[in-house]
Amino acid sequence: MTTTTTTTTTPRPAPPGVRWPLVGGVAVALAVTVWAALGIEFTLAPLFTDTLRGQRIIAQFLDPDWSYVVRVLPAWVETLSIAVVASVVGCVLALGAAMLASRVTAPGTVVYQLAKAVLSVVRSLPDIAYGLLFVAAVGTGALGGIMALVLFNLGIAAKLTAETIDAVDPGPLEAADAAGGNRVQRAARAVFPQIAPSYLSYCLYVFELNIRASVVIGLVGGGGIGNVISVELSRFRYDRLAALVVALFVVVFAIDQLSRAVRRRLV
Amino acid sequence: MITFSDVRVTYPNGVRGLDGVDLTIPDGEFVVVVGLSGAGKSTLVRTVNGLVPVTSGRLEVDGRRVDGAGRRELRAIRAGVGMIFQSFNLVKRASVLDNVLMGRLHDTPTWRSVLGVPRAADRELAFAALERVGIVEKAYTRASELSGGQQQRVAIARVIAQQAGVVLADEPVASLDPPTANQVLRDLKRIGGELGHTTVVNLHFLDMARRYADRIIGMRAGAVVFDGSAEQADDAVFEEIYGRSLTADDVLLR
Repeated sequence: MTTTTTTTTTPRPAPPGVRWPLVGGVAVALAVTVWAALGIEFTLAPLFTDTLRGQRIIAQFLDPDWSYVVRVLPAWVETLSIAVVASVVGCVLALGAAMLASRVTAPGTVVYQLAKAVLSVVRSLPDIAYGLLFVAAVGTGALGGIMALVLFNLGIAAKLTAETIDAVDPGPLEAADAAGGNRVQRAARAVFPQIAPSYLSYCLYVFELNIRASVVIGLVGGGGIGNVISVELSRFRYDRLAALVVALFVVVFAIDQLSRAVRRRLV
Repeated sequence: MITFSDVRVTYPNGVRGLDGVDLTIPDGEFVVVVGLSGAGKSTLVRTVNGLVPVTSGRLEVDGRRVDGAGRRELRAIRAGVGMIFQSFNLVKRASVLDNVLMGRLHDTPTWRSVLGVPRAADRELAFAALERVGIVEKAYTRASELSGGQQQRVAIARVIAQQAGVVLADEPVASLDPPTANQVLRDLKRIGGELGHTTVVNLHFLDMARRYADRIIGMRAGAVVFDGSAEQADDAVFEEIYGRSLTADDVLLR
């Protein structure tokens, strides 16, 4: 049964018109996608036609050479050492940089702006770019890897720490000022105790990242297990690679879990 | 001695904090500043150690000019002026002892502060200060684990350790319950007497002001509208300072 309402109320508002900018935007995105795919002659064909060629590789991959993982133990140790040294050096530098890059602790607006700008430049390069840069500068080996990771860590840890400093309780800072302390004393006695747990947590986080990043940096000549992977890849030893990849997964996962457990206790 | 001569403070947002204040506070006096919130009590106290800069006029603390003082000069002035805050301003994660040691910053080399290795003499001063406020056994407790009253006592110990001649207290009992507030003011008064502090306290409870003050300064709209002894400050005077009749909210007890 239908009921008809005869009482006319105010006229209903007309729906808004088509949002042409949105339609245009989607159309442009589609066009760019098609153009890009055509440009690189994108096709899924090799997935079907070339699978047989990959059969041998996959077979090797499924038969990992586990003993190799242990044979390259020194390389694993080197990767861990690179990560540890880079984390410690990077985080110590980051604490100083963060103090300069926060309005709360910076000695002046000029220093603050400058520190912010430098840090954002440091962050703009990815880890592998630093790897290529330092391996070219100091040659292959752990030193180049460490230097690359130090800069990578500095960028991340300093930004996170500076943001934490921005948010500290200003009360103790006022007390330090009122007691006649100088800027450095205020940073050390009123700011640092407040940010210490977060800062340590960032250091551990950066260490987690370093385990992964040190492999990538090893690929470009920065030493450690990444170097081994790079060599085995060029020798087509997929059985060894498979074992290394699985071992890497286990190591990274274990360190992440450990670091996370410690971090939870910190904050 | 603290001397204000026609001191004016205008905040960057245009708000007038102090409007031509003339005051002389002799050594050893326990002065309570009363007034409604926004009357300039807090500004008055905070100009003394330069936390709020003076816009015009002349302000001297023990013969040193606070107005126009540079960073180094300001630190030297602040070394002689301790401060207690409404929200205690302790580093909550740090130990009570570390908080009290903050009072020694003005006389501590920067490297010692950075490495956290205070001089033995300064540690002893800090312990003695804690003893005076009766919580020396809490020295290694985290400040956050103490009650509000205990935290304010730590802040008082910080001022004692500073060995300053002038003590400023900006609403020191506003976040405390009545019995604790009385206890804290009693401590302030007793310690100020023992150590010869010149104490300037902001309060907004009339009964507390009358009970503890040697001298009451009433403020309204950035100006001093009453300056006299606690006995002279009767209800009529407070109504004059507050610009309205008194209510139950104006007293702490009852």
